[in-house]
Amino acid sequence: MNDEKFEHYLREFEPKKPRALPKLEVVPVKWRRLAAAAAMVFVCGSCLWIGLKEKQVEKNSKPPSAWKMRIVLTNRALQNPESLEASLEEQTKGSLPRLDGQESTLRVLAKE
Amino acid sequence: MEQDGGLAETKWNAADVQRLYQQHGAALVAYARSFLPDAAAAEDVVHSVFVKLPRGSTARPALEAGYLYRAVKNAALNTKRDVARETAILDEERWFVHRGGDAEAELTLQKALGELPEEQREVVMMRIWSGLTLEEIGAATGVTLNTAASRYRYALEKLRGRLGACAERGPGRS
Repeated sequence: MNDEKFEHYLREFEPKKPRALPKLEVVPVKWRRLAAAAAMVFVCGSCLWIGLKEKQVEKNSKPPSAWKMRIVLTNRALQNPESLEASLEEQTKGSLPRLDGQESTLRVLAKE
Repeated sequence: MEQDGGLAETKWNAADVQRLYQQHGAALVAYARSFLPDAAAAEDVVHSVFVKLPRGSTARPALEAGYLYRAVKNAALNTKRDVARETAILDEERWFVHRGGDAEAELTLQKALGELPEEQREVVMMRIWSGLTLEEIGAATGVTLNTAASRYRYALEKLRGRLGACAERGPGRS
């Protein structure tokens, strides 16, 4: 059997058909670039939003300014002086020396 | 027969990949089978090569079939290394189907191909089942036309030695 005939004979054998190729996902370069840009925008936006939110929280937690406090206390003194007195008394109990009672600062000093 | 020479497009597209699979998929699976004993693993290897084509950033080579054979060989060898198994050709799993239904010849061909040196096997598979010219095979395997031709000649000699009797008698006349 010559080469040509033998080649023809070999071609009578067909490689077994394999299963179909799975679906090919072709992502065009244009979409890849768009996706990358969208991701960048998302990251930058998130950073900006977090930054702004933190700033707002800081702003909200700041104590009121001195002039605002002054107005509030003046209003309270004019409208309800007893209540202001009581609340000041309460707040200064632990921080200022007491001048009344058995163990007041004045009595202690007088004993000495 | 496919003419691979000349200018090729720069990127792979899904339609071309499907066309190449239709054209060379079966032969490439048979080729992968010569490295891997498992039919499913051989198909997986070929699929992985084709699926990666449109995703990859590499430009399309001028000789697509040659590139595919190289890619399948590399992937099959990697898989073989990963599973750390000896390549053993399993008789019960056929790579080929004979048009005349000669089951004995199918097995004889399979064994004969398995016994060929790798460089001769790839030449004969590219030539007979993918229709590449000897010049294209030389370019794909990085050898001269003369080397490709002599490898092909030796391979045919050996195959004829094994299959000659089957070819003469024809199917169903054992």
